[in-house]
Amino acid sequence: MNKQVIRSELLGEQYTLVHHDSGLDILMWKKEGFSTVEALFGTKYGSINNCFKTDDTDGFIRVPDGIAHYLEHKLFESDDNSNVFELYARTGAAANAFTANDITAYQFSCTDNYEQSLEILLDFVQSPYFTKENVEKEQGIIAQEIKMGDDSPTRKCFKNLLKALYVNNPVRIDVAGTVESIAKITPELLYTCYNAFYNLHNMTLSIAGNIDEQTVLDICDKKLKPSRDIHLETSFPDEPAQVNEKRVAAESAVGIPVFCIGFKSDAPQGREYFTKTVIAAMLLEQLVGQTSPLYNSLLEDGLINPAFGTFVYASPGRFFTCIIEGESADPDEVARRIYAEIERLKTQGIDRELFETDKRVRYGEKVSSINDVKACADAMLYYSFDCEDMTLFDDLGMIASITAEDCENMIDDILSADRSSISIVTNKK
Amino acid sequence: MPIAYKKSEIGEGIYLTEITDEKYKSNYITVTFAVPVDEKTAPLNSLVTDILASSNRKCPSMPQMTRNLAYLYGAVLSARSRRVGDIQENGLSIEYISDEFTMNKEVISVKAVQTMLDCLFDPQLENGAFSEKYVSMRKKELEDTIRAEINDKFGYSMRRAREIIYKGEPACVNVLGTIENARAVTPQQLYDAYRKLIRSGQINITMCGKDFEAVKPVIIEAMGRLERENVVRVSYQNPSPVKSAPERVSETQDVNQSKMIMAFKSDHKDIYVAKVFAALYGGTPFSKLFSNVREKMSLCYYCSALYADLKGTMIVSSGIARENIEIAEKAILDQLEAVRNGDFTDEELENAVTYLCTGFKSNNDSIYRMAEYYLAQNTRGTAYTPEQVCDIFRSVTRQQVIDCAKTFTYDTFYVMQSQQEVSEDE
Repeated sequence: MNKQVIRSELLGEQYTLVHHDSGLDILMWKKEGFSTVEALFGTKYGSINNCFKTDDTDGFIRVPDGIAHYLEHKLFESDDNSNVFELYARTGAAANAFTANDITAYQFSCTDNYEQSLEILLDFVQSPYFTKENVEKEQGIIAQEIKMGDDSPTRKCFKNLLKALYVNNPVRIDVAGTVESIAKITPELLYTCYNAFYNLHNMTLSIAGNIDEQTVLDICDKKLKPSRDIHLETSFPDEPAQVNEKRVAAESAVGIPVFCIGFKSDAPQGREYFTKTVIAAMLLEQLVGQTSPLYNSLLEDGLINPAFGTFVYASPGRFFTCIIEGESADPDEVARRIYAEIERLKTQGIDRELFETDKRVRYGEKVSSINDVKACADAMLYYSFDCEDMTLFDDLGMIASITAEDCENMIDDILSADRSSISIVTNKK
Repeated sequence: MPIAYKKSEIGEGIYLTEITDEKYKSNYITVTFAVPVDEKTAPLNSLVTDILASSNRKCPSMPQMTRNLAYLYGAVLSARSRRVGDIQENGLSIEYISDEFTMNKEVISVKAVQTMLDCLFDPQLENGAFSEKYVSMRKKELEDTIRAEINDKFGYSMRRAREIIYKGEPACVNVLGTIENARAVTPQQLYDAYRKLIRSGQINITMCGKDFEAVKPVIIEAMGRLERENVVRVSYQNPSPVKSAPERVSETQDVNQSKMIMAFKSDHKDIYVAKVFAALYGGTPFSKLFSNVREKMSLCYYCSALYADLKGTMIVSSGIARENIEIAEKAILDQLEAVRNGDFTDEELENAVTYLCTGFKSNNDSIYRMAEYYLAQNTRGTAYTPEQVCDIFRSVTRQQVIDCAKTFTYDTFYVMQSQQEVSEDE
């Protein structure tokens, strides 16, 4: 067992990383003075991992869209018919789970009995039980979830954007799949996916709050079932540089049209990926963040409202997208002004004063985020999945070292108008 | 280090709540003006708070204001206008990192708090009223917000249901008002509404975090300068009267999933018993509603109960397929009957209590939830700690839960269903 303490003198905080003999990475952050415990048991497996092979499969296999999410739902059932929520009910923990493009995680949050809750978590995630009956039963519930998602115009707009940006990349597939694709899911397929991706070498436990590290490790020693290396390989189709469609429009019941503009670029890995996500976020702030001239003029001209934001949507080595989203009576005009502003930033450069102010904002956000036990547990997991050689305190130094020139040099790559699409959802007539 | 709570009246109808907790790295301060919800003034008040958050005399434009806050390590100034039962709370909040965590121990706390106070009491004025430019901008935004209400189907259905559940009561008012009203508002009307709020609204100040020595006198001094008259004493507890017969409303929308909302009302006096009952019935992922209506019968994607203590009302909301509406309504009523008949185990009751305790105790770990928690205590005229509330929960007996369940009367049924499916039916 290999143990490493990751410390920030500046914040007066530290957490511990343990490479457990079972193959699992364990991240622990004792938060002094806090009464809650937040835990996540995650696997590097999401909707984009739909083509893979292992020692146990007959070459590469392609599985139905939405199966990672389906598997997450089904893992809550066990062979003795007990429901995981009922087990947690006795410890008082609130449990949940989520599936994204490249991650699935099972979490609990509690104030008492975290030891028992941790045992429940480790037990049920390591004990799949899929039968024809329980798999079929879930189809109605997940179909409802898919339909509910379709009722959200912002979600619809975002999903359409990903389809417009990407030609082959599986990020264009909805995490939950479709009503048709989930109908093809069988217990056998679920076991195949489970055995491939729920191998402890592919997983991490992240736990923060009112914990004792040795107690956590003792429970892990007792509960973890060491897994053999099955040589998991995933396959991703080649993605052309160009977008699939420049502009997509759909209709829905909306009061005011919603839009999403995306810029696609190449996704590096490791430290380079991390640096690129920070630079992209800083560039988006200079382009159209709340302190930028463009944001304020769009607002003053009534072209956008406070329901406006930007974010980086990316996965290391898989996809990298900068997103600008909002509501507008004239989304095309918003896009036109954004493209013009990108050109202006290229020729006139970034405002140095605003750039330095943005660094202070990012510093403040980091400090505030440490207040939240859940944010700490989430961050430990995400940082470890995204970049093995970065810790979650490293970005304070990284932010301080990035210069306006670094950002300017990346504009062509990160905000290329040629590699962008716009998705709009207007009101159904 | 235990959390310290203190509430004091520092002026006429001006209440200061101090929640000191050393573990936080940032501080959160809110100042709100509480008044009874009124259909005419509610939209004005909510616009006023948005305008106050835009600028002040020292930072007269929004870009200047945003940059000023960004420079203070991204201090977050937010407009707060919301309805709590029959009361509307309007004001601002600011969150800023503690001075000891700034880059060079820079002191930003007083600047951050002063910025909020300037927005509240020293606004940017033109000809004795709010700036025309920001008024029209905020009016446009309000129009957009009202139009966009339909985008969030869950929120929209809840708002529509509330209009029916609380018909004729202040709580049924949509504080955003209508597009027509938003368009007609003038800068002078807004300024008058603002003057009235600061003159006569009940002022609730909440400070959550630590190191208030420097900022507290600044706040007290600002409050001391206010000219107060006809100060309203707001009463948060206003149980909603039960309708003589359940009201049933069905509406259609362009949606895939139908939303069904049912309301039950009670004059039960002990809100903590009612909370335990609502948790057991539908407030947890192992409640009667979740485990039966969702899990066993697979009737809905979600189905949960929430108890609004200020209105004595329990709202059950569910997302379901159109064809299941009738059977789901019956299943939800059947589960209520089951609780009334004592058809639940001691373990189910114990689990519901444990779940509630986890939720209450975890309030200790969020600066916002801590502030909200004690504000809620203030509305009830109590000052229990989360731990004390848990002790109350643990003392609730199964007979109390059964008796409480019997006091809830079915009052309102509202469903928002798909247009297409309805036309198919016809």
